Amino acid sequence: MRLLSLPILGAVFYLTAKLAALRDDHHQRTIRGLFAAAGSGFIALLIWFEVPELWQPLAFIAFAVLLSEAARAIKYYSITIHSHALSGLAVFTALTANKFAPQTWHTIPLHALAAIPVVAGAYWLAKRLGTENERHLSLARVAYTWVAAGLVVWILEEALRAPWIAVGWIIFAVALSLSTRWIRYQQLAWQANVVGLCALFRAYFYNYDLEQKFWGPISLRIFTISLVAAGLYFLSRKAAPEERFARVTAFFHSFAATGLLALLAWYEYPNGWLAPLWAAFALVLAIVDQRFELEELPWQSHILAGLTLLRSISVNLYVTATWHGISVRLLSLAIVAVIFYALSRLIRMPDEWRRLDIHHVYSWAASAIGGLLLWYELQPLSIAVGWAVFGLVLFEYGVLRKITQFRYQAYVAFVAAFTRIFFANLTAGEPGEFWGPRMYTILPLVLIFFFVYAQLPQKGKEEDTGRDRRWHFDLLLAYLGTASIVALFYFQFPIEWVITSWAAVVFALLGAALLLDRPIFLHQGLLLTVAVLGRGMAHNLFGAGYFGEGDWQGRYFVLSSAAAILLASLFFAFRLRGRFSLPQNASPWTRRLAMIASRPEQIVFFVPIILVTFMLALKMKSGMITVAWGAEGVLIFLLALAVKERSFRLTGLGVLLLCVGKVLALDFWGLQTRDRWITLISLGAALMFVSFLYTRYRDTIRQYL
Amino acid sequence: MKRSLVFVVFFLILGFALAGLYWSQRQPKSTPVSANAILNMAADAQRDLSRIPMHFTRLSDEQEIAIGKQLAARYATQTRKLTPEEEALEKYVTRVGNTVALHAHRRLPYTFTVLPDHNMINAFSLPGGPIYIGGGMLDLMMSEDELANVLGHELEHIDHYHCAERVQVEAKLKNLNLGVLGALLQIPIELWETGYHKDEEFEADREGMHLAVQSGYSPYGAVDTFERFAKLCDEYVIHAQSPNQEISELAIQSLSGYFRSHPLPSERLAQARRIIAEEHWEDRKTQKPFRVEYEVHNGEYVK
Repeated sequence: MRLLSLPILGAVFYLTAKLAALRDDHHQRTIRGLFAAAGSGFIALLIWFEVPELWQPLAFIAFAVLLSEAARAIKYYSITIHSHALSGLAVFTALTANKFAPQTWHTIPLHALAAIPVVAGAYWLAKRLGTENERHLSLARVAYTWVAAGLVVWILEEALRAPWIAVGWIIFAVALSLSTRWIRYQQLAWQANVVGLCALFRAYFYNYDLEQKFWGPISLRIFTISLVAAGLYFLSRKAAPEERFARVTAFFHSFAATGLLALLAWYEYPNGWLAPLWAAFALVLAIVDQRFELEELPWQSHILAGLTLLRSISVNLYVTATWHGISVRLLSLAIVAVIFYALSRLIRMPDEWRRLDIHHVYSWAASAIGGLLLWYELQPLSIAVGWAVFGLVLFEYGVLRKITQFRYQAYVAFVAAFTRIFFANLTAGEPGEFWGPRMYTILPLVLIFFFVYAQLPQKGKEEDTGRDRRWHFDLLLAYLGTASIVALFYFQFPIEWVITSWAAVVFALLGAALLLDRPIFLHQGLLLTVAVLGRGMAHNLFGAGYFGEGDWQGRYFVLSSAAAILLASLFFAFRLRGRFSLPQNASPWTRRLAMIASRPEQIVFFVPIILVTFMLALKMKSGMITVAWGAEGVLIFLLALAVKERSFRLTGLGVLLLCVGKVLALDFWGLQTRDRWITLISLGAALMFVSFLYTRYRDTIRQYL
Repeated sequence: MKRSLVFVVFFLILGFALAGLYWSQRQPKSTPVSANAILNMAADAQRDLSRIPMHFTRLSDEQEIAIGKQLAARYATQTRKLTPEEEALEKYVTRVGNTVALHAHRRLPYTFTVLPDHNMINAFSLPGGPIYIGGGMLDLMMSEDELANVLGHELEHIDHYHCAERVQVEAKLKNLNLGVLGALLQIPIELWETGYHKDEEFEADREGMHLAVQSGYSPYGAVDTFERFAKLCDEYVIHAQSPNQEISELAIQSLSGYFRSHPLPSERLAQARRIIAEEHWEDRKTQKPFRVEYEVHNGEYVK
């Protein structure tokens, strides 16, 4: 009955409405509208009561499309409003149809399929809505396309299996963005963005927990999230509704995709391999950016690299696992370091930043990781050598490629290696062992320091390494080398022999200053000479035991040998006199020091003389001191004549006068008879010898004095 | 430098360094990481610098003996009464000590006291003559020669003015007038139980061995003692396995007093062996047993 009556009633009302249209006045129009609405209502009731639930969405939307087309055809646009109501019913019935007893076609629920015509109808209506009012048409288009997009999202959510929903959505978002390009309708681009966002959230909240395998070693998580990320990357370039939103869209989607993939790596490789994976990802982004110049990618590389660095320091350094017998820490951090070096070269930066060497943050990070890796992987004793070798390689690469920052990193490595020897190497080895770990771990450092120093240019030669010289890295290296060898000798030799070994270093330094024509070695030699004096006085003389130890093998031989070596150094010291020019525009203190350095023979002469004089005073029996001083005075005087140096001659005479003074003030009154005779005879002989020399070479000596 | 020459030298140095790296990696014994090198150098410098004024402000023997008596009186109040067994042990230690002291350079009233603490693996001396040895140290002794060498070592700290100089340094640092009664109370008594400077320890070892040998004891008593110390030290030092452990070990070892002031037992052992070789004492291997004589009455030790 209903099947017959409702269409008849509907048709009657439509007919009435048509008839009412013959008199086009205000009241008729109202009545006509009511009749038309009644007709649509009766048909809608017919659909509601007679059409099966799953077909109702199709029926309603078809009716809505029919009315819209009719409105266009008969130019009666009021019934377009009925289309909107019917579309709403279509959407409602689509969303609610068969909710509690879902039937499926294959795996797809039928109610989802039933909604597809609604989507088609909505797009149809958006395209061909029967109205003349532009504003109405515009709003209706926005509403229909958004409803259609929403329905598609819902259909996909209902139709697809849970892991694939995000994929379905991102594909739809991509389709929307492509459609935008074809039909130039911006609302679709906005919808693409929103759907892409939905896909992002869905992937984030659901897909990371997927553990099942998809194909071979590839898990469902990897596959689905990678697809979502790929879609987001696509959207980043194609989903901008307007030009002014292009940058924001690109940054948003691209960052979202990169974030998804970075997080995916975290889930898939939560152990030592995550850091290299992130680093590799950062590198890929940098390479892609180099090729396509995508503004946001370098930033993503920076963030990923920062995370990689944090991860490397906080996790990878402590990883103890092995991979095929090789330490995962070693492999993973080595990969990270190599990638960081590559990033420092490849990553795109503004030219101004490049000029400031900001990109070398990466090479510094890489070198820091390399240094830490050596610290963790090597034995405590080997770490200093490891760092020095690492620094050497960095330096040579820096010189070869003219990269200043690599050289600076090398200097830091050298300082670290030098510092390290004080915590492990100097106290290593067995006592009494000559060629032990102390020697073979510190000597290479010394060689490396001096080798690198030798490659830095001298004054006036402006090369790429000239900047290093301006920062005084050459001085630093020369001092590191000498300090290393001085420290090595301090621990290597028996404690009283340290000054002898240092005196030998003075000899070598002065020789090096002369042969290589480098004043730094002269300065070091003089400083070390003063150190020999300090140590000799404090340790070997006043620090010695109170009893005995004055024998030939003990303090005499030690101090005498040190003094002899220093005196032998006079050979170089005289040749270095005045060789290096005084610095201009220097501070008064610097000038004073330079003045002292310009007369090295004075220090090299007076230090051993002071040492020997005190040694004789402190270590000889009281009666023999004067004799020894007398002999010393004569020898000094002879030396002075040989080298024709006035200050030396005066020193010799001064020592002899000291003898005379001592004899007169002390010895003569307190000595035993034998010692008194020996003293007087020796002193007399010495004075006669000097007197003889003075008489014979009076003119010459006068000239000297 | 010419590039070709640079490359040749570079590879030579690199090869040498890598060889050093290889050898050090193959070291069977892990090297402990510590600040000992710096501490040793600082202690050396401090000791050397303080030694110069000591030469000019030395205490007289009488002053030193008086100071030693004051300090010993403070110790006497802190230790418990000895059991008859411990008294017998002290008597034995005194006999050995007096034998060794006969050959000291300075004639001072040397006294020998046993501290009845079995956790105390230490011996120390005070200025002017008092020498103390811990029960723990005596428990380690296997021969009388070991005891003689230990006592000789402590005796030489007094004989060579190490104790007296310590008083002088402390008095200077704390601005004390040693002539004033009670001034010594401001010097913590534990100060004497810590070791001396490395150089002074070596000197005491060296001279102590000479005293022991002159008194008829074997120098191998010192060797045995140092071997035992070396074993204990090796157990004490923790070999760090990572930089983190290294840093924490560094802090601990820098704070701990013992290894900062004492040379390592391995170094002392090496010196002892070197002296034996230099003095041709290789044939003096026979050692006297560590034998304390007691009287027992009714199952109890008596004097």
